[in-house]
Amino acid sequence: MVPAVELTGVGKELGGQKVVRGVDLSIREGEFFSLLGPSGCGKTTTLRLIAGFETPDEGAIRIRGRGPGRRPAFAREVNLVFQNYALFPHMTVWANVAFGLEMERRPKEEIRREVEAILALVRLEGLEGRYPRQLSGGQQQRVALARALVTDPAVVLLDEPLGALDLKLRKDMQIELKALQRRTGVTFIYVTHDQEEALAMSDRIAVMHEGRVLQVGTPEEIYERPQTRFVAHFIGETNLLEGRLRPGGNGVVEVESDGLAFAVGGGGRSSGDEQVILTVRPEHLVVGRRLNGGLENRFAGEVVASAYHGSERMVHVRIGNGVVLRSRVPNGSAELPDPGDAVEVGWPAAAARLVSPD
Amino acid sequence: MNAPAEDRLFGWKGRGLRLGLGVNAALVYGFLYLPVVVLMVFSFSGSRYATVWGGFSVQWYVRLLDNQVLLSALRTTLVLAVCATLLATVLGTMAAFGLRRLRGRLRGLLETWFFLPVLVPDLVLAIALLMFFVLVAQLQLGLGTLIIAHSVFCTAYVAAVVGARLKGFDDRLEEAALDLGATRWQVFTRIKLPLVWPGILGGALLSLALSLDEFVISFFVTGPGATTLPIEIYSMVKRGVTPEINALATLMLLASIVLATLSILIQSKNSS
Repeated sequence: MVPAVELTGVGKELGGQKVVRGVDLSIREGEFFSLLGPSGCGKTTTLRLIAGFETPDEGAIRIRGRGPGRRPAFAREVNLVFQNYALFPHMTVWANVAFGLEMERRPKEEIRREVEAILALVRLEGLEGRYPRQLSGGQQQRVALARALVTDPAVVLLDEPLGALDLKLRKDMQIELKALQRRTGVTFIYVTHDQEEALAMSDRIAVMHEGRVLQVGTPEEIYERPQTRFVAHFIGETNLLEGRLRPGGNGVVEVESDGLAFAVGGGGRSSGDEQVILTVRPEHLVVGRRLNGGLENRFAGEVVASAYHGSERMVHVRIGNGVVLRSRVPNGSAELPDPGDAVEVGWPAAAARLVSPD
Repeated sequence: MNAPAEDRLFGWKGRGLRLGLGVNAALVYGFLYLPVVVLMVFSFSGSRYATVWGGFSVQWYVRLLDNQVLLSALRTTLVLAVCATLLATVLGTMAAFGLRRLRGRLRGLLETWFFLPVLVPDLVLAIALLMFFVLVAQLQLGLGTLIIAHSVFCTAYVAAVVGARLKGFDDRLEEAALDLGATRWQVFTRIKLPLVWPGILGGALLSLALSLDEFVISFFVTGPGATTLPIEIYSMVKRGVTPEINALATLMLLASIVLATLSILIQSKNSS
């Protein structure tokens, strides 16, 4: 099947700086796809390239298998939901939503039907006559969505659309957006710097850093099996340890770091004496006065800090040579260590992963 | 009861301060408006001397309507103001849109040059225009040269007002419209023009008001058969101020109050 959007070797320079470099992406029809990265990573420029507001210096962008052709690129069947919504302030909700259909010169009766249907879909019935300034942030957001969806585009691009909303409303809108995308089946490309948002909503995520795509995968793949140091660090919380690789036994390799040896499962990636980075998530670390056997990694240490987070507690344990590991301990577990306590910290070899430097 | 802030902070001194400020404000307003009030009162005087009160009368307003010389000057002034305003509004609006498309230092430079006629003393502009009309363009001085001259400084004002309105225009609105399939022309007529419209109207009203009472430039570039109201009044005053002029000035004051009020209403209605 032809991908909804395909980028091959796309590069773009803005103001003498390479903001997008060699980006390859293939986004499937009906997918909720997120471009995730810190500010300045090139995600918004990538979005503007797809929208056609910028033209790539290198590479090609195909929408449903077709290049830009002779029409201006922004006239393609791709609609953008702007960060600040960019609603037309002098038009009512109705006129804002109908705008795209009118530009396509659809018949009046059809416009009325389509606008009514889409307003019902985003639950804005009864607000047709209002002006944008008379609406709440969440309502403006829905008008922007309706305006982008009503012309039945191949792809809807969303540029941090929830950034202006407060936290509670944002969580609600995340669920609503995802549901809306499911119902309409339209391909969404969603730009965000909020990793929780990306994990919660996306079918697949592309993690971007310094103009490059570092990893593309489902939220589970990105979180559980990060491939680079940046991905592991940027998504969720993790412990990163740099060291040298040593072959071990039983399908396990060892990483020597700061005079300590850590076992990593999943087979050897390499044979030699190689510089590697090890990552292990805080929720995989177990902390206790005495741990049971069966954990390949087990170290004696001292609790240096313990922070309460409601449903859990983040415990920082120093295990020698200045290495401090963070462990996420669910509340309600039997013993909660205090700073200064001597403890053991451990994790299975399978929970640790080797990642490449970026 | 809440005492005003100065009272709470300064006690009896605060009350004195407030009184002082009030008196000062009254004096400033009196200074600004007392002459105008005197003028309006005396326009209803029955005396044939402009500075002597001779009982209430509207005879000067009646006489005014019979004064063919003044009425013809009024007609010239109105035709001039309307033509110059139309020209200046179109040219100034186009200039403001064009200047906004420029980037960087060129834009700053061109903008400054464009608004120079606003800053240049009228006298300099008047002499320059006269020289240009007579020596370079070799035009017959008259209504035509008046219209061109008034358009010059009015265009600068319109460009300034429209430019200020355009500064607040969010470029993403243009992108949003293009993204939804609008052509550049549709973006202009459906998005930009409606949003910038108050600025254009404000600029037009401003140039109308400026053109109506422009004296220096008109005086220099006018020719036989094209006498504007300010020039006519000037030559009347040379022969002595008559109550007829008081009446005329009162009417012009009313007209400018109406224009100013309209302009403020339009600007405030759309800026919310």
